Amino acid sequence: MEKALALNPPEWRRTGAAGLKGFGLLYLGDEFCEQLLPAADDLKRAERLFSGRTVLVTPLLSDDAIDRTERLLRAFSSAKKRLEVVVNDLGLLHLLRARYAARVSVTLGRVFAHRLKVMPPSFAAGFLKDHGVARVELDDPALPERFARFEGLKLSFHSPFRYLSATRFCPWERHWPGPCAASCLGKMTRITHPRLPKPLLLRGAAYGIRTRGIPAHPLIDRVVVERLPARCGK
Amino acid sequence: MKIVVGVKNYAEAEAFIRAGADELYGGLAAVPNHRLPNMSFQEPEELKAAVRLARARGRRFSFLINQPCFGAGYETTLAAVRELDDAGVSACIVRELPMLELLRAQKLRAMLTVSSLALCFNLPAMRRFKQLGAGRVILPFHITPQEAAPLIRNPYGLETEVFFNADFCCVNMDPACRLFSLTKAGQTCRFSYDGPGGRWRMPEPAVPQKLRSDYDFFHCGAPAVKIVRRRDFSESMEAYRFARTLGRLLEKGVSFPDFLRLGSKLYFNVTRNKLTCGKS
Repeated sequence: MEKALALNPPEWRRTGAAGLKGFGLLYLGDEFCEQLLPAADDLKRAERLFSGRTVLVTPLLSDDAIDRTERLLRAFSSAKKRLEVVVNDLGLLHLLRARYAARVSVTLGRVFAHRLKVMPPSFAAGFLKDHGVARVELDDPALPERFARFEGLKLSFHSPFRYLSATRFCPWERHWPGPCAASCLGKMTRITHPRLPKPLLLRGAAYGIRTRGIPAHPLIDRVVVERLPARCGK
Repeated sequence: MKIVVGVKNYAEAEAFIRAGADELYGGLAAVPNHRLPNMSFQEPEELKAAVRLARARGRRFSFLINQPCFGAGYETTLAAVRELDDAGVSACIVRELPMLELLRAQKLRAMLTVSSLALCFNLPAMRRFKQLGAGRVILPFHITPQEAAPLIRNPYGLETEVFFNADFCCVNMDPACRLFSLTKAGQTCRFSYDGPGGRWRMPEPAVPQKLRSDYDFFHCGAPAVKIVRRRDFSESMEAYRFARTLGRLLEKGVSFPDFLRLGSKLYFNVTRNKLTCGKS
């Protein structure tokens, strides 16, 4: 089982090589907030300090963020050294197929996985093949079986945070995407309601719940660890 | 700026056409469309009559297929689309890629419109939708006017439509939101939670931020704004009149401070869920 550590760029800047001990992969970026796309320096630092492989993680992307992502793709991917990219945006997926197919390895992110799961199986199989998708990211134990029918597809499983909702209206700074003071860093908010079976956690731009364990499924060959703050506001 | 209004029966369609709405859209209870069945036309014949009425009055009517509906619902959907296409429906509003491909293959007279739920945030996504036969893209609620500007001016000849922010707000990104799966309750995002500091709500834009969005969308050249369907018809009409008034202010070229002052006054006098926030 491969083991990956998921860090957004500011977290990565605070993490030394020792913090990656035991992990073969670094997931750099964020699936829910485009303010947390890595800069070229973050990827350079990863090349320098981390002996494992770095995966570029991307959320839904505005045009400006697509341009920033493309700059990273041009600088850090090649036919000899394919860059794995976690994709949640249809535009980026289309772009990767059209321009970077020989330089990247495509992984569908957790937001896109929910679009994939509702596709008719025959369409989904063609879609995966057409876009060169080798892997899908999941955090819901009910989903691996839904993807078992697709030949050759690998699954990653995120733990211990299962996302349930995401917003582009920053819940920490209360503005639409724009200049960001990174107020969410190192923080998590815990909210409760009688109708919730367990507390809801706000982490970055995503709401979710804490999960335990990885489901045993033959297609899951990678666990993606997200370090949640030990304490949270409540 | 055109105003596009969601309707759920013939009487509403007639009333909005009389009130000057530029375009209408609606769904059919038997075809999944991202709202409960009681928010849609109940019978195909009534929907077809509304389509014909809109056509006779020179208005567009778009049909909603903005929820995954494969498997058992597939034939029902396709049959409804064919019937409505024959009746002269102007467009089908589609969310899922397989449905877009399927409808493109049908060679309908109706235009294909990409639903806001397809989450089109950038030009490469627009280009893909153009390749799939789309004629219009409804931009997602969570796109900002600054982000939308290049999409509104897209080089692919695609029409665009945006939400009327002063009337509608989805706190989280639909359809990337699955809070329903946790509580089995709609509008889980609107619950009054217990959180840091006591009562806690999921943050959403404040009124000045909503009005800023509408102001900036207008100045970015957004050609059409959308008013969502509501349970209560009189509230829908209030929202429509509110949008019409704000549209006139924008067309007169009011400054943002004036737009904010007048818009806020109106905002708090519009009824939402049977409540008026503050009578002035």
